[in-house]
Amino acid sequence: MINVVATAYDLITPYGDGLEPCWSGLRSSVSALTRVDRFEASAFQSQLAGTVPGLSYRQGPSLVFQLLEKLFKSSGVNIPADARLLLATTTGEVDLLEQAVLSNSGSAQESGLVRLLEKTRALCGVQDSGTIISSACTSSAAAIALGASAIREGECDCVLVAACDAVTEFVFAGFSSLMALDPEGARPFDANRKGLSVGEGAGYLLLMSEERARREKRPILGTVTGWGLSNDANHMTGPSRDGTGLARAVRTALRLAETDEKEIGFICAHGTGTSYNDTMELLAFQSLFSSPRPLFSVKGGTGHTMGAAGLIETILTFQCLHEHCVLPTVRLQQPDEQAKGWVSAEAVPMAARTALSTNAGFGGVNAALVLTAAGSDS
Amino acid sequence: MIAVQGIGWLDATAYGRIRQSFSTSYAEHTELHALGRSEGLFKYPVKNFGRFEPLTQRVCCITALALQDAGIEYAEGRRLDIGLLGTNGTGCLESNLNYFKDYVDGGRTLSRANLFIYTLPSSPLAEAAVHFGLQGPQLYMRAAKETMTPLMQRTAGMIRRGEAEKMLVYRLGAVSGLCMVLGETARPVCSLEQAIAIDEGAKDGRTRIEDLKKAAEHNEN
Repeated sequence: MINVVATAYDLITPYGDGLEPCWSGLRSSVSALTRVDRFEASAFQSQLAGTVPGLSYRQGPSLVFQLLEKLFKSSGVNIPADARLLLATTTGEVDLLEQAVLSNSGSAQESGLVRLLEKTRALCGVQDSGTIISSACTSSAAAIALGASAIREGECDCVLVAACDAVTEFVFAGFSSLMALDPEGARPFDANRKGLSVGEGAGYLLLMSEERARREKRPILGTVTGWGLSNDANHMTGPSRDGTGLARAVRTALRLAETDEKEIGFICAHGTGTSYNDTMELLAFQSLFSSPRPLFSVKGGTGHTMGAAGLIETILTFQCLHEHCVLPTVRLQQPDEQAKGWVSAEAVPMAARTALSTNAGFGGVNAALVLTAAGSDS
Repeated sequence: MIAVQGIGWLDATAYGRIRQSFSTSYAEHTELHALGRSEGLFKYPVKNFGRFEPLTQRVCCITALALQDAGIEYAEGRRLDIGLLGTNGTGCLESNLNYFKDYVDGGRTLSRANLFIYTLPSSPLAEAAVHFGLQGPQLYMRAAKETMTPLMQRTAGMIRRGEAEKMLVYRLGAVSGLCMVLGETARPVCSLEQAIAIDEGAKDGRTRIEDLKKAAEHNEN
């Protein structure tokens, strides 16, 4: 079997540029949620979001383009020109559409996903014309799954997965209309949670066959060993009440990883902070795991970065494996009864070899990734 | 052998099934927006079909046609080990515009949730997954060139690895749609390679349907 390894990654989150500020913020239980000031939010259910400082809104390039430009310009990583490009997003450059509608000038077509794909390709310098992957808030986890499967099947030996989404009035108003926002900020797995906080971010993950990574003397930062995607086939905006859809995705991921639940040291959960999502996830994990595992959500810190969430959380899971530390669930005060024994407001030291990362989204989609520490036999 | 088991299609004037050599024009039967109520297309009513935006209506129609063509039974409350991958030219641009213009016209204080949920390119596939009980992987893909090839390749791999028993692959146009059922079958409509070649070679949607019909007839004989 061809092993799929991560050889480089980077991200931009509301904590700032790069992994370090995000890791240390989350590790110290500091939230990056702030009051939204890029549009008028007083009429909405919440005024809090995770926004990246220093971006300009509706003036020139889109928010996600600014994020991707910063990301690739500062990365300093040699991205092979023959890498396949997968770009994950939900709404991409929708702020260009906002601009076109609000100013009654310009073209909404500028917000099309293919245009963003072309721009991203130019930024990262690959020859492949690329593919957009969009599957609601599982988009980037699904893109990692597709990239890993292409390498494992021997179709190619290098895939660049990029992901981005931004906090726009378009998205914020939508989540508010669904009554999905917590006015006090997301509190995943908390007994008093009332909803999510929207967040933004971008990141990339360079996947290679282990053989090529070793040949090119690239650092091996972790391994993508298994993946599973599923649909609840239940409801457009609400997850399945019993967690069976997510459990199906996790079972597939464990099977493809040729491992079982006993090997999973900890879980980086989707943990949006909505009542239904967090309950659904806990039900799924309780049905799958013979005993509680340390579990965390980063969304009280970063906000829900939508299409970028899976990739950002994969990077953070690799970092947990590397640092021998399970992150705390930021903004957790009083764990939900069902979550007791699983979640913690404090970081937990743990030298785990393998971890699970999960995501779920609109339309009942679910994604699960089994990730293994660098240096482990996989 | 993983191959195409059934195909449902529709365009501005007609809809049909390839294996079963069935097609009917709207003039003889009914128009797209009324198909949700028409007898024979859906085994049970599609909830809120009349409120779906046209792309989602088309996805539901061609899903029903494709499943019928492949001889796959579905029933209310039953779950099937089938996934969905789709592509189109413009994602959900039209739905994005509808939603945002409505929000702006309403004074930018409250948006409509029922319009917001269609502002994801994957939403039409999700509606089909919910109605038909399809539990496999579900996502939207768009290559720089509008083609089904990467979708066909991905779905074949998903079936081989047991991620789903069968997969539905969609190509959606402004007024047309094509849905192929892929799975292990000894009696294919056409092979995966044939389907890819036809998709890549067709100059328009009508030609693509005609070429698929010819391939099905050839393989039947």
